[in-house]
Amino acid sequence: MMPRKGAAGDQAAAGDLAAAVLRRRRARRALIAALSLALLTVGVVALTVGAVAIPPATVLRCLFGFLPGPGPAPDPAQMAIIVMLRLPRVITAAIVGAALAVAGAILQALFRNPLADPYVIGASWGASLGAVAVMVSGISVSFLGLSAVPIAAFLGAIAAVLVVYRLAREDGALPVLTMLLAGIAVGSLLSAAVSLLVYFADRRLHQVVFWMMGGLGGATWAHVAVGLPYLAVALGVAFFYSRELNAMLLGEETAQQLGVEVERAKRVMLAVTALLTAVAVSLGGPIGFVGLVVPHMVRLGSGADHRQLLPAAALAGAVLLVAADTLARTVIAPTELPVGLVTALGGSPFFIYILRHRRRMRFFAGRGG
Amino acid sequence: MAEDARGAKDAEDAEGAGAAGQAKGAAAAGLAVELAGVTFSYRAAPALDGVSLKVPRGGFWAIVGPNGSGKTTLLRCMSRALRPQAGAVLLEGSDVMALAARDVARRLAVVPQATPGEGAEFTVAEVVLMGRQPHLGRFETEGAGDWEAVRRALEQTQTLGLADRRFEELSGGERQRAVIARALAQEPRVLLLDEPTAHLDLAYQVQVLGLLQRLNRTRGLTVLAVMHDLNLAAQYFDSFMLLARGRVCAVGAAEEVLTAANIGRAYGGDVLVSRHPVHQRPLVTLVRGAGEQGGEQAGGGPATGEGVGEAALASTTPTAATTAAATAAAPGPAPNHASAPVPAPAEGAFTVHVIGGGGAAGHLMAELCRCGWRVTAGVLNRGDSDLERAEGLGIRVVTVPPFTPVGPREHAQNLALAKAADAVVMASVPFGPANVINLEAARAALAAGRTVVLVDEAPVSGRDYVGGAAAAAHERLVQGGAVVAGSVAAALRAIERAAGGTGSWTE
Repeated sequence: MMPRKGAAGDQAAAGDLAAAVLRRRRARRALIAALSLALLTVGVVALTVGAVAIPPATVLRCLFGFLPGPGPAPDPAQMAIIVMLRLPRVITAAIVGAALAVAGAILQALFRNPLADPYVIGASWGASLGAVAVMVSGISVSFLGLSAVPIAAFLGAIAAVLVVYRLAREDGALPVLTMLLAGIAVGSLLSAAVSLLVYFADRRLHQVVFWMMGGLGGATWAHVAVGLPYLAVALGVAFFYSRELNAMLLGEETAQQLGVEVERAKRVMLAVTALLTAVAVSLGGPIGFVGLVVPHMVRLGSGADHRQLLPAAALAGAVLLVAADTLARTVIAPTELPVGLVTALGGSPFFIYILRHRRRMRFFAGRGG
Repeated sequence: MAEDARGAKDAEDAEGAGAAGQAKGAAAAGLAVELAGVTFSYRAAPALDGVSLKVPRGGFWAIVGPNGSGKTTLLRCMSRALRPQAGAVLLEGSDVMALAARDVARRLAVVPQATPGEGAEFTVAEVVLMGRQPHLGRFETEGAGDWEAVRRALEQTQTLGLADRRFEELSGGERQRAVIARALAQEPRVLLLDEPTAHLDLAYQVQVLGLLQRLNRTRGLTVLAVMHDLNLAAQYFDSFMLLARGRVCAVGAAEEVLTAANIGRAYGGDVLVSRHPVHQRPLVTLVRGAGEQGGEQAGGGPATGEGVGEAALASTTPTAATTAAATAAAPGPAPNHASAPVPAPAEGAFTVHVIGGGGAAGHLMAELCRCGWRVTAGVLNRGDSDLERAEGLGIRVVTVPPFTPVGPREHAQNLALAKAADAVVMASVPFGPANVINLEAARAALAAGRTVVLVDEAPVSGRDYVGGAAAAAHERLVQGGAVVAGSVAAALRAIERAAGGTGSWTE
């Protein structure tokens, strides 16, 4: 009944097996290398464009101090524009994009739902309420070089996720469907509160509305200094939970039977996504679609394995948001578009496209989408 | 570097590897799984109500029972997916709820019921590799040992060729085998399976159960599988637990658990338990389901007959239940035919005596019983499939030892039964020196004014191994007024007429 192969054939097969999987992984690592290169390129391009055009060679000289070959040395004005204005903004955009994309990828796996994005756990409305409350009340304190708005947004996001978490907990477990519904409920409540504040915010209405469309206009090195450590820690933790996330795509019960402490993994992943979302929203406002669309886009190339998906999503999110932000500040210069508008304008058609090609999203089949 | 880490981990896990690697002898000391009064309810109604079971290491168990009897719930409690409200599940002596998921997963693997769509984007190799999850540290990557475990699991389930295929591209059967491979890659000491053969065709059913059996025999793997197909289960598993309404109905060997009484009690239908012709394990055949009492007889046959059939069933159902209770209480193997699964009509019902042998009368007897008549038979050799069938049907039979001619005492008993019957039917039996005397019983019955029906599915000349004596006796019976029927159906019609419409045979 059971045809058996020779021992030599078996050995070869084991090698082949590992080789096949590793080949696949190597191909996916190539994707990560390509995305890294893309990020570098987009970053340099972003530094060249703006009110003052600065040639790429100058930008590179400025960044790395030297560049072989002829060319003018950067003058102090160019240096200041690049180092003090454009570079922190580009890095902030990259941080925000990476944070949103990774948070989206994790939440889609956690909820096993292709429509999950960083905002389903209530973070964006919490952040909005915090930020809008500060803007309307006119509080102006600063901490670590940050103004009150990003700090309030950060705290609001964390607080909202904590409320969702407490609401969704049942007997020590965290059922993802309850969490999804709690996120929606809390989000609705907070959005009503935000609307109420906006309604009475006649004086600062423009500032509030502009913030809520998402933008990286005020990005400074202080933003980078605060955002980067959070991002690094959250990405690190998420990466070492990749195998758990993979197993959880097979269903929570199966993951548990494979040795995953499911409830702990869910709590850790919720904390990680809350942190990532809070960082992103406090630095850039509620920017939509990056967290929803980038993971899907990346999954087409990286496959479902989170060991490749998470780093690829981080890079792709960064590339996308740096590009979007560059467009936002140049397309109708000197006026600046809110970057959230650009991502939504570009993201919506893409989202419609993946809806129509859902075969590629079948690893979620039987769930949500 | 990775190799060193694996070496250290292996040393730490040596206790586990040793037990898994060795045959039953060393491992037989303890219990693999013990259920102690496990009680669980999803809402108000209990799904499991005080289920207790001791599974020794190296046990090969099938958990059977009707839908909703709590089989899957029990499996989920055992795998720590559900926390029992009362009682405990002990895995190798420790309460599973007190163990970490990882510690449970190193010892126990689960093959769940097929869940379409889960993990569809992964390749088979990636999914099976996930079976190594409990053996890998957080900062560790898979080493050569893990790949070897994956390869072995793939090979054992014949899925090596599917390794690079995406999960979503697989058929149901392939998917099921890949999931089994994932469980085997965990290198567990206990394997739980929820209907492992549900999506497999015949060849793979046999292959998968054969694989489980081999792993059980050679590596001492303790196996507990929820099985739907009782006959397939009976063919492979050593031990059985029958669940009904969340309680243990019966526990023991196939012969002890798969009795007509137990199955009738748990499933609520009428079944026939005979023995498999090849491996002699119990063979369960559904005679009448719980919800179709007498229904199959509607739409044909005389109206009165229907009534008899239903009445017979109704009158014997309590009897079956009583027998079941007695069987369950009595220790030791209970003979399967001790309780008649098909209602034996009371004394005084229209009685048909069957002359059979050599397997010629099995179908005839089953049909006669189905019609609701009282049936007797003789003389049959022990070991004859007709006798097994008759015993399964609860028919009174005159028997002789294997290959032994019918003696005067048996002949006298047979004559008495034939004369006591209202009709005598002779199947298309081959006649040799040992049984030619049975023709005499038919003659005596004819002489006593009974209806005699000769089922001549084949001409008697071809069945005569006594040099024409049987053909001559047959001819005399026909001369004497016996009815010749060309088929069992024709014979049943003839008896129907003789019984005056008290039967319920339908075509």
